[in-house]
Amino acid sequence: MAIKMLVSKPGKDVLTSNSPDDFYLHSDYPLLKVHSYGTFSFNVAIGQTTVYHNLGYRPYVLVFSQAVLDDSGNVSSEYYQHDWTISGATVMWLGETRIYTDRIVIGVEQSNAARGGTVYGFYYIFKDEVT
Amino acid sequence: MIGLKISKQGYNVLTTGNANLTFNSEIATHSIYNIIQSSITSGNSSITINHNLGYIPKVWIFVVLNDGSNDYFARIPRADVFFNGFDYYITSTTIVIQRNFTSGTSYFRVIIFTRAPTL
Repeated sequence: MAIKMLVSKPGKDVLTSNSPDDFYLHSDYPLLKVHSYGTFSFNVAIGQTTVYHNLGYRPYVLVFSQAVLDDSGNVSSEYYQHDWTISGATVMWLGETRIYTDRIVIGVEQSNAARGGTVYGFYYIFKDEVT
Repeated sequence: MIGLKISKQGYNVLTTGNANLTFNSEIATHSIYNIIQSSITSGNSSITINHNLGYIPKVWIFVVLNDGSNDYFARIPRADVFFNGFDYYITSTTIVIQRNFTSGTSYFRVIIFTRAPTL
């Protein structure tokens, strides 16, 4: 018989609860585990930065960054999930994270000639594989 | 009520703050309920996935794309300013992935978490 470890939410009976949402820890459902994390910055005219994880598979990734606000490439003071699209009057901007088996590429693409300021952000790469 | 705390190496589990705990049973975690591979086939613009949890779970979805040489994953929603667009919505029983085109097959990885805010 398999041994399990369960910790239920306050007010929920660990022995009788059957909804996954009733547990803060349930050994049937793996927790996200952090592989690495850090900060980055790059000029949007250059377009991207690369972070190597060398896991050999495509992991879960969370990336947040400042977003480009306007045609001039000015950036926001707040941070957004780095999957954003901004349509200025004449320029469109795309913030995108590409997840490969050995690295992630955090990029900003634009529809016109390269311009703009520096984007700052942070990332989390998890051990868990997106199978 | 009995709780469980696990601290990082070098920190006293009885006195350290939450930032130095790898687990605290008083704080919700990101537990993965299921990972599903799915696709929208040619001629279609959506796919419905049943999860039947009875509540609206947190979900992450990645679309499989290609940069001309290698496949990579990218999170959706994904606006169609530069590329084809992808979006999704969640109900208490299903996840519906949509795209704004119908040609070719699009492949997805759907990560369903156990956690759900009470709505």
